[in-house]
Amino acid sequence: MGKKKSEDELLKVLKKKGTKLEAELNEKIQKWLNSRELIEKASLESNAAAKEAKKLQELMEMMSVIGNIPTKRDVANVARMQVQMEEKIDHLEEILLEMKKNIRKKKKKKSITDIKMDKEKRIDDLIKAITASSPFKSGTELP
Amino acid sequence: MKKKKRKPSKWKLAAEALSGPAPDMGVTPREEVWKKNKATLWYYRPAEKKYKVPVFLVFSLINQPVILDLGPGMSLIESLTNGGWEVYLLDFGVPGYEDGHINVDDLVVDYLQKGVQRALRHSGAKEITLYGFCLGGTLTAMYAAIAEEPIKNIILSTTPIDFSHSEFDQWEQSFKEGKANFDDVLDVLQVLPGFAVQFGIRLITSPIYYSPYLSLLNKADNPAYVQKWLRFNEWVNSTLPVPGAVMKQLMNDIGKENKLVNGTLMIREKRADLKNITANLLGVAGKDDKLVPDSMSSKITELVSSGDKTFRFLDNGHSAMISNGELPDFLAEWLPSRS
Repeated sequence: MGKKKSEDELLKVLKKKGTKLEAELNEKIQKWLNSRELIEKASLESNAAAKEAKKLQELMEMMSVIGNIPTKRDVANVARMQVQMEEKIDHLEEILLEMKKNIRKKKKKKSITDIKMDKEKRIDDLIKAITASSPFKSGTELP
Repeated sequence: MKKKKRKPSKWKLAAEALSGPAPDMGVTPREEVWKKNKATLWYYRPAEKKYKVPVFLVFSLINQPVILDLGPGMSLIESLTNGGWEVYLLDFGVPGYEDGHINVDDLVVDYLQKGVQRALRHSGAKEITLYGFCLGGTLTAMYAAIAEEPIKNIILSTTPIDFSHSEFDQWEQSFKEGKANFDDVLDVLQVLPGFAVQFGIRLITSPIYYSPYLSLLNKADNPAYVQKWLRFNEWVNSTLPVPGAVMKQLMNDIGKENKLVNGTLMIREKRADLKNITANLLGVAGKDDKLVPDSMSSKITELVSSGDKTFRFLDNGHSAMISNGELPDFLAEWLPSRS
């Protein structure tokens, strides 16, 4: 029990002191890092490394022609073509979805018109039936 | 007499946790709605749909979106679906060498805008809520400034918008004067590898990083804490590569020239002026966020034209999106009445 308690206390102190030390060290490092010289030197050296890497890549491209082997660029080009194809299918799918939506709309519109026509027809039929059964035919004078 | 079993020491428990298998993450059931290149639009069905306006999540480019769904009882997505929202998540995936040409315009128009259109069509909703995290929030703001889709609400969590002040002011000056430039190296690499992204984040936030391990050591006898810690640690270390063209555009247009704030950013020949945003806006920043301090994110409220805009400062760091199983207070107070 006592041992467990002392371990807990030790770890609590370790966390408190450790976190404080971490924050202090980070602040010092970040102050040191925040320097124009450092970032400008990093920029210069990365550009120089990029030039060398580019030369090497071009050399590999040349060698790939002779050796008839694909390079990372060739694989990337195939992948890009696949994305282009995906975009075309996507576009077609969107056209189809739009058409489906329009057809559904038209059907709905049509069915509303059908209902209207149906109602009108029924009213007409009703009028006809009433007139037919009425003793007063059209054209006859009222008594 | 039975001998009482001694509890193992916290050192031993922490060592066991660290050497154990990676925990399962991203367990909320989901359906794939749309796919493009490496990106996927996921749909999370609500337990019982209560709101008309679905939530569309846009995660950062530099980390996996699995932080939004760490596991049962620690998932923002789960708390949203349990609350009755339809949830869509745009996962940009892991870019490779072949994606080096993809730039910010492509991400905003070909991925984000198309994704929103797909989500609206899939849900049949008339409006949508956009919820962007970190750089995903920056993309969300850019998209919202040129969007033709019906965006009702925008939530931006720890989102960098304003790059006029930086902790690294000397670097900023060098970049602005054109004395520091990494375009050539990005052109050669095509894609900035994940380890380099993580190294950069560490430099900005915490070059020496061990205090989380001390926290684990202190609470190694708490299985629930250990499970959450392991999941979070797994996510922290899963930094993603970033396409070179995106990195260049972010460094030059957003970092160096601050075009998003100045209203001069062009996305596929359209001016992405934040003044064009009229949707309801909720901004969130963490008070202890070292990666995106509130000076970078809070300016959004001054730049948009929204009549309904709120900005909240939370008592946490960059990971304000971790849920404890319930909807975070700032969301529970803001989102339901606007959905």
